[in-house]
Order: sequence, then C-alpha cells, then structure tokens
Amino acid sequence: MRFTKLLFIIFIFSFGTRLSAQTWVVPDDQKAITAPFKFTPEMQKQGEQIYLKNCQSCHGLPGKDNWVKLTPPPGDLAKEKAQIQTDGELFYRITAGKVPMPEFRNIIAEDDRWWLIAYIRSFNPKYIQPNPVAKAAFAGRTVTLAMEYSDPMKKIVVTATEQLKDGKTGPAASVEIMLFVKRYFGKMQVGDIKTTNTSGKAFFEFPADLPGNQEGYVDVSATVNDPKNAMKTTPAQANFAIGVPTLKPGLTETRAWWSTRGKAPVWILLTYTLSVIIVWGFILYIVYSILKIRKLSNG
Amino acid sequence: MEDKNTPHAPNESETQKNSSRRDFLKNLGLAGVGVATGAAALYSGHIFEAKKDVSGDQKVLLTQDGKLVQVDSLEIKALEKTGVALHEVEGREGIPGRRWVMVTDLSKCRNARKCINVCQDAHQLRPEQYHMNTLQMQDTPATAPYNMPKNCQHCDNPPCVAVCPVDATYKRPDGVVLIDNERCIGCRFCMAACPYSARIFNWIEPKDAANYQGQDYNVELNVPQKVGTISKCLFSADRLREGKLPYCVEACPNGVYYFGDENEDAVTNGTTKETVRLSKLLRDNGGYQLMPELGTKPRVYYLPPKNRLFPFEEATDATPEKV
Repeated sequence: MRFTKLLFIIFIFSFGTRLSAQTWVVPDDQKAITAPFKFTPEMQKQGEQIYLKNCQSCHGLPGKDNWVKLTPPPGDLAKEKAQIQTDGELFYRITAGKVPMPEFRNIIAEDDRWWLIAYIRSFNPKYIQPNPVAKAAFAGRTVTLAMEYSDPMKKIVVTATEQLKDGKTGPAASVEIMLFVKRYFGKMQVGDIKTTNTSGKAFFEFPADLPGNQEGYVDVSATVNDPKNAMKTTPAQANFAIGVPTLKPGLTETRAWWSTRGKAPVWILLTYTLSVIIVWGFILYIVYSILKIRKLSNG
Repeated sequence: MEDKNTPHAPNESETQKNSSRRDFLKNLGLAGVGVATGAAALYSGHIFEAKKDVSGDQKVLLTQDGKLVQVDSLEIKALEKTGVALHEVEGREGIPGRRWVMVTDLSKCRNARKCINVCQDAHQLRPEQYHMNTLQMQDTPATAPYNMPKNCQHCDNPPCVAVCPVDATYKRPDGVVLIDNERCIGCRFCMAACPYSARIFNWIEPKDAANYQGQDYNVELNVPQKVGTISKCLFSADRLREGKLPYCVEACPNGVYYFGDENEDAVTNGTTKETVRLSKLLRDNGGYQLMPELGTKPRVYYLPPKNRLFPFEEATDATPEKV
C-alpha cells in the first residue's frame, strides 16, 4: 500500500517535471536581435492600437492584470515575467507563436511587431532600449520576389532572385514561398507552401472557383516563408484577372414575402387587389340590387 | 456820372460774371454732391432691398429641435448629411457588394464569456440582456455536453422583418438585419416572430442612460438604447464599415468565431486572424444551420461540437468555466 503511494507520488512528480520541461525556448541568435530603430512615443501609440486589436483578447490591458485564465496562462505583459525578456525574445514569441498563442508572422507586419514591443516597454520605467542595429548589417540571404501569371500553364509563377556575394543578382533556389489573396478581413493563403527550383521559380495553381471582384481581379501577394527570420525578403504583389467575376445582387433586391410594399411578390399584390375588388364588388352589387327592388316596389 | 470805361466798370461786370460763374460752379458742385448722395442712398437701398427676401416665397420648416420657423425659400440651403441623418442613410444602405456570414465552431467554445461581455459593453446592455449568449447544451444523455453561443441569425428570409408594422426592423443588401430604435414603436411582434429568440426588449431605462444623454443615435450600434424599444445583435455593423471584425469575434480567446464575406468565399478567425475558405470550412467540418426546416435561411453557420472531451461545468458570468 505504502509502495503504491510512493509510486503515485513519483508519478506525479515526473509529470510535473515533464510539464516544466515543455517551456517555450527562444533560440539564442533570436534573443540577441534588437529593434532596427529607436522607439518613439508615436510608435508606442501605434503599438497600442495593434495591441488592442490583436493581443488584448487574451493578455488583457497591460498593468491591469485582467488576462484570460487560459492554460498556460497568457499573463500580464507589464509584469516582470515578460519585461525581463529581451526585445528579441518578445519579437520571436510574437512572430512564431506557440499553441495556444497564435503565430503573428503573416498577420502583423514586421515594423508593427516592433511598435507592439515599444508599447509593451512603455509600461516598464526601468527599460533602456539597446542601440538599434541597422538592417544594412544583415548577413543572410537577401531575396526579392516577382510574380507573373502564365496563361498557357494557368499557373502563377513566383520568381525569387537573391543578391550574390559578388554584388550581382541571381536566381534564389530552395526558398519557401507562400501565396496569399486579399480578402476583406485579411490575407488568405492559397495552396500549400512551394519551394523554388534551381532557376528560382515556384509554380502555384490558382483555384478555379475563387471569387474575384466584378471583373474577376484578385489582389495576390507572395511572401517568403522564413520562420527563423534568417533572410531579408521583399514580397511581391500583383493584381490578376484570374478569379471568378463576382457581382451578386444585394439581398434586398429581389421581391420577397418579408420585404416592404414596393418589393412585395407580384402574386401577393395581385391576390390582395383582386380580393379587395371582389369583396367590394359584391357589396356594391347587393346595394344596387336593393335599390332596384325598392324602385320596383315604388313602381 | 458813370464812366463805363473806368477800370471799375468792367471790374463790376466781371464781378457779376464771376459771381454768376461761381454760383454756377457752386450749384454744379452742390448738384453733383446731391446726385452722388442720392445715388449712394439708392445704391445702399438697393443693397438693403437685395439683402431682404427677394422671392417673397415663405416656407414653414421644422427645425431639428422641433420648432416651427418661417424661412424665405431662397435662404434654404441643402446641407450634407451628418450625425444621426448620415447614420440613418448609411445604416439602411449597408456596405455594397458584401454578404456577411459568421461561422461558430462549437468544438472550441469553453464558455469564457468574453464575447458576451464585450458585446454588452459596446451596445449599452445590462448584464441580463444578451445580444449574444452561450447556452449549455446536451443533446442526449450519452453525448458530450457543449456550450452554444447564440446570436441573431441574420436570416435571408427574416420573419421578424415580415411582421414589423413600421419598417423599423429591416434587412440590408449586405445581409445584416438591423433595428432602428427611432422608428420602433415597441409592439414586440418581431420578438414573437423570431424562432431563435434573438431579440431583447428594453422594459426599463437602459444601463447608464444618463451617460449617453445627448449622444447621436447610431442605428449600426443601437446606442443610445431607448426604453420601450427592441434591441438585437447587429453583426457589429459599425465595425464592419471600418474593416474590423465584430466585437464578439475579436474578443474570443478560444478561436470559436469565423467572420467574413460570402461573396469572397472567405472567413477570418477572430482569435488567430487566419483567413480560410468558407465553402471548404463548412464542407470539411460538417457545417450546419439552426432550424433550417423553417426556411429562414440563416447567415450564421455552426460547426458541430466534435472532440469536446473536457468536462462541462456550470458557468455563469460570476464564475466563468476555466478555459
């Protein structure tokens, strides 16, 4: 009996240590990253707007301790647990996410993520920003994307070129590309991630049934899938007439039972008018007959 | 003796001539001044007359604060619509080319009640008034219990609109069903007609009514709320106009809600902000509508509460279920 109890305790402890082992580790090279610019009060204000839109629903307002009780707890970002982290750590966590925290890589632009950090730091009076490191000192690959629609292939061709060591540009091979179309509330990914071939090209089949605007135009954008933030990339944007032309009438334009008088179904209007005419016609006929009988009796 | 050749004589006649010329000049000057004065008087009179009403066509008008005034027809100027009047026009026209649609994933709802709280804050509702509420469901004793957020279904065949006698509740071209509290007479026909019980009635003075006094009524927000009228979920029509997701959708911490445009075949998750294809989402996850047999054609879809293995606890606003 005592033995089983002991086993149980050991089991609980091992479970606890395993839980704590599942912490969210940020790679060392990411920790060292600093913002590419000096934070200003304007950036903090912009960051506040982004925070209210994307972060408040879980983290609550900074300093108010009104975060949502999730597992693991999101925590208050004005508190020490968040503030002892480097800017690079915060940036990595926002960018990469970890379930249940969403990944904001494709949702918040890079500069906007730094503004967010500027806002979070404004709750820490002891915070001194490390010197901004200009982006020019970047040593990784510099990839620029271009996009065109190939009519014979019926595919979107994304061409990636990169800056080579000798100052020339050449095709960027094995770069992961993601394709998005613009929708009202955000960008929607089309197809899977494609890798560029040796000539720096990636081919995307565009769904045949995706709605475009009135003329079938869709705003398409291609970005590099770079979760480790190891490249300096320039996304491509284009507007192709490859969607299904969509011009659906407003939902109040057709005649309907529930609509106002002007939009009532014709059969209702006809039936109603006819029944009114019949009823009144009958009444008038009776009155006319009575008058006729009176006339006859008088005669 | 009179010597006409004396130097005086011509002088005298000259004096006479001079004096007559002087008089003439004097008179001319006087006349000139007179004419100028007269002309000026006439001119200023003309301006005065011009300033006065010219048409003589008087109109009787009702001012915004309810006073009857008489104004010359020439003085009436058309103004650009602002404030309440602009909201009235915009609120009826909607956003062209859109058909809003909402998808609620029941497998994810853990009754955090964030959607309810943010909705009540935005629409000036008391804690017991719900545009959006989470119901506790258990279909059979053997199946897993689940929470079901339920709001107005924004039907394409809305029974509530059909019964409104004053055109206060209406359907917009973009699919949203709204209620105009300025037109509502409080007959509550729509409440009786709605099969989803989505509507609430302001029986008593709305919450914090004093704080909202004098604020322009916004038909896309139902604020300020009005006692004796109906209120209901608006799909946050004011936020859609700004390109933002509805209050409830954005406040959810568990990724329950998707919202988007059916015409674009895309919906965006309020928590992860991920945009996915509406048709695929509904097809792959067995999307369904509430009471489709009634023919109301709701604009809200539900995804079934699959894999809901976590326990179902009693949760209220005071003690939300752990999320």
